[in-house]
Amino acid sequence: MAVQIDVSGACDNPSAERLCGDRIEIVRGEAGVTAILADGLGGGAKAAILSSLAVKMAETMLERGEPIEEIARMIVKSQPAGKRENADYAAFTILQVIPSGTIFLAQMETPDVIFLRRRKPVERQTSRKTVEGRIIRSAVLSVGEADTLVAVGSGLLRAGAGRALRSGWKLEQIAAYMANASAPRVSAAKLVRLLLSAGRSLSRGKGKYDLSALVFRMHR
Amino acid sequence: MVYRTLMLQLYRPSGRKRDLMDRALLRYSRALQMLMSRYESQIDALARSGERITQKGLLAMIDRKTAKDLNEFRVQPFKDSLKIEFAALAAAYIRQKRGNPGARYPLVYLDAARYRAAVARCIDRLDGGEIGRRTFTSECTRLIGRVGRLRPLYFGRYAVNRDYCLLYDEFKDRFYAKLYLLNAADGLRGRTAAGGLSLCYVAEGLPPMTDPSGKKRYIVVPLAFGKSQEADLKRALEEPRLLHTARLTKRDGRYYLMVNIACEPGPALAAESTMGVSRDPSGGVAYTVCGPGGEILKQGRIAERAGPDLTYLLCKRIAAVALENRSRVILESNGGKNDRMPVRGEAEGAAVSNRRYAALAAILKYKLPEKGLPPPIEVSANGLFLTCPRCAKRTAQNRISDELFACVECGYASEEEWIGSENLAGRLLKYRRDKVPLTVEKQDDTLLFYNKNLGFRCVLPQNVTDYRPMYDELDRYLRSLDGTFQENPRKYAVWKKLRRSPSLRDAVRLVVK
Repeated sequence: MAVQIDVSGACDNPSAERLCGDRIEIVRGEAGVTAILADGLGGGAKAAILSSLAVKMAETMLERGEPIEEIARMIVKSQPAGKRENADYAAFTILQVIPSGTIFLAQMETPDVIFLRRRKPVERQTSRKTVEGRIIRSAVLSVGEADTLVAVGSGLLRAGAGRALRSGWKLEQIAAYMANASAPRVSAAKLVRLLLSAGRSLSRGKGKYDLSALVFRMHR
Repeated sequence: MVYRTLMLQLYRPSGRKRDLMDRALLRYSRALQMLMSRYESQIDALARSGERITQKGLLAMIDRKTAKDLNEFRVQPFKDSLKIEFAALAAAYIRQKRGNPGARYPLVYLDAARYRAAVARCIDRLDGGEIGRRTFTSECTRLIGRVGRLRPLYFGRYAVNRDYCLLYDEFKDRFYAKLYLLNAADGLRGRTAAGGLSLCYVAEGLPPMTDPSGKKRYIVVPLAFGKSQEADLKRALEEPRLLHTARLTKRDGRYYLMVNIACEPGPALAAESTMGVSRDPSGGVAYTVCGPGGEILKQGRIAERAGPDLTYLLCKRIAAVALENRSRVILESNGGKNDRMPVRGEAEGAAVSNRRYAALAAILKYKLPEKGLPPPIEVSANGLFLTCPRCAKRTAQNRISDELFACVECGYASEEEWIGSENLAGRLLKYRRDKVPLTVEKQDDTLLFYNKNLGFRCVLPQNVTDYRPMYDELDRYLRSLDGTFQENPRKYAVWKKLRRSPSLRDAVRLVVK
């Protein structure tokens, strides 16, 4: 039985004067739906170029039918920074859902992808591989009856920095929020909108970081 | 008129005066308890009957025999005060009993005999298994706290020849209190301490006080007070009519006269913003000041160290913030009951209780007009901490943790502690923006338009596309309603909103049933 996939992603640039360092691209093809969230660290023009480069590379390789692990490896290899830790680079998350119901995930230095099954956060096993001194985390999952995958950029986690929250605005809080908000009829686009809106609210509209969110809702 | 209570200490009364005041307080308390006990069954019956209660009706309960029996307590100087206080206590109890059938009958004074009997009853109930150990402890603690506690003596009027009045010595620039505590038989002979002073009454024309010959039914005691009270008393010298009732009370071995003084409200200030003040989960209150467009101008928390004056200190600071921002204060009604404030483990018990919040609201009702600000508005607190300040969605899912709020409808996120005050601050704007719903119901061949609160009904043929006749009918109905629903605040609110609106079409929202 084919999987129904609802996917949406958006970036929010708090300042109109500078380029957004985050990019999201969703590619639909015969192989399924693939989305890449690239988070250019540091912000500004350089981050925007790096994230665009990563997205473009992923798009091109997907057209050729390359697996996402290979795409991830190539993006890391193409980063200009190489092994230097303080250099600019683009972190990324690649998610691919194929119609048979398998999810492929590869990410490098982005916050962990939140996986909700029936509105409850689920732990998953990831494998780690080091390429050019950077760690690529990857996982293979199978789609259940009502699953939601949420990937966010690092800017969204920093949105709650100025708030008096003892537990902060971390992945656990985002996961709890998404669990509360992901009622059966709520679309992926709405969840993305909610996340970005929450990020803007928490930074009181004066945030310094780009906000980005990518949501997959799947139903078997 | 706004009243303020001046707390004036009776400065170092002599042993004899202390003895007289103690006796007066005891007699007053016992006499009032006698009145309350004697009419308990009648007052209870009145509470059950649901009849309208008036002060006149309650005062009429006290028959001649009872009035005569009061003389046994030697309370002739306070007879009128006793009656007034009896009526007030009975009325308050009846109101409370009608709202809450479990309300206790007021206990004015618990003497030793009653105390022993009550404790014995408690022990019997514990032995009989009627009450548990916890209830027994709380009952006994309550009784121990009440035993021998004296009721403050109420002076129902300000007069130079009865109840009480103030005196002023212009040479020493000091104030004194003249308190009528004795009946004619117990009067004091000889000169009073006031004999050597040049005192005048704080009354119209400042008449001098003369020490009459014969028995005196009063005592004169010097007063001690602070600077702000002195300013009020000096004002009373010029306008003695400001002075009203008073109470004599004893606290920690000291005697105080609590004088009610009318105070002119300050120059009225136009409110430029709204200030929501809610309870704070971690103690004190949280406030949010919103501008006319609903934008948040200021947020903060007001907390004070726990103590007997906590409520007053909180009020003082709230009033200061409101004055600084020229804000109209909006509070939770009913003491914030059911506001669903999150309870934090480590701060449990630190939060302002519903009772304290209600007391705070009562104080602000006079404190804000004193500063020239409009009185606070109380709005429903139901689910206040679960409601989104932006889109008004109310659901428990908006609470992510006990400190984080994130709306599942619009994505608004904030710390939980601000949610209550933000909601309150924006409530007026929301009321202003909300349209009046007019339900449309399809019937056989007609359309029925109605609003139950307003009592409006209008029928139009089903095939009409222009609803102008309905709006015309609504307009006629609103005009015809003028002043005919004083008792129905909900109807009045809807009527007022529609009447103030420049266009009825803009003020009404059609809801198809």
